[in-house]
Amino acid sequence: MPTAQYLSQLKPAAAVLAPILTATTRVNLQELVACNEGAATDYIRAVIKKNTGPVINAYLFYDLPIKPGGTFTAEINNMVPAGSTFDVYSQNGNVSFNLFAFVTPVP
Amino acid sequence: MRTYYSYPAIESAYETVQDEGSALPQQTILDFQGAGVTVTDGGTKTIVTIPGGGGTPAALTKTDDTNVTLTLGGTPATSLLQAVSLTVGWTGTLADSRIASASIWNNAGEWIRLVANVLSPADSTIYYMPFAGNLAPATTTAARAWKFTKSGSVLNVNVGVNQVANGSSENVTIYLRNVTTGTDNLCGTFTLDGGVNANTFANFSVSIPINTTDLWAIKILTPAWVTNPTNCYFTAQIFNKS
Repeated sequence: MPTAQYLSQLKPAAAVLAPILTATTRVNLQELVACNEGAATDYIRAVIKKNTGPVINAYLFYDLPIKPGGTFTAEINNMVPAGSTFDVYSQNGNVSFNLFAFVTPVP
Repeated sequence: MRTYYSYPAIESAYETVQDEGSALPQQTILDFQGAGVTVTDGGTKTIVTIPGGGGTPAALTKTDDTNVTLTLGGTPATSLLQAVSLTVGWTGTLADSRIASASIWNNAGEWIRLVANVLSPADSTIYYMPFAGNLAPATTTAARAWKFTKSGSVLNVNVGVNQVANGSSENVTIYLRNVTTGTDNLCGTFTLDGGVNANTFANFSVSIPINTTDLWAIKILTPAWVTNPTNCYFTAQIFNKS
């Protein structure tokens, strides 16, 4: 039973893959919103790293373009286990990321 | 997973591309090509940069003809985008009117020279100059009419007379007569009274159109002298400028 909606925010520096969320419990990722605040097209990446097994950078988006002033929204609606991280990246460092999720207690 | 974009509304954007005012078919892509032209996305606008000036200037040069030369004004060495040379040439035949100041051309034409045997002219009589020295001026044009060989204009008629005895000072009148049409062209008058000199020479400036088909003659009209000159030798020179 989801207990609360969780919001994480990050505006990573240019060309740096940075974690917007490190899950301490199971998290139901709902929505990723990326807004390009810059005056030129920026390119974003988003990747989920799970906590067990071989570490694979499984990208959700890779160098996806967002025009100036544009907003990209991805409805994810997937559960990730505790210990997983969600990293985001923008080429020019002008993109703000918002991640919405539900935290689900471990049964 | 569903994804979607949202962007700021664009209130206006170009939808027609024209070439010198003529619309091109609408396409989805506008592609600027050619050396020196660059296009960048300025975020809120498309920036097309066409550099002005620049480049290495080229020269305008010339090669003169022997008689025709060109003077290049301004800064011909750096005046052009690409080098251009001018070579002056000469074709065809120069028209007479273009060399009006050249004496050789000003004198182009023919001289008609007439001499006559001795004559003691009568009063108020018309004589015609012969074209052979053994003949005296006569009152008819037989053997005294001739044709010019060039079309043009007679500009000068000179008449000289050597007389043994001077006459009185009445005027003798000279004409260049078109015998074919019966037209007299007045040249001028002179006297056979000796004047300052013992003999007479008259130079008449005229402008009489000439053709090569009609017969012409020098006509001498004598006056009613108080005292007639005697034993006169007439000569005439006619310049026909072609």
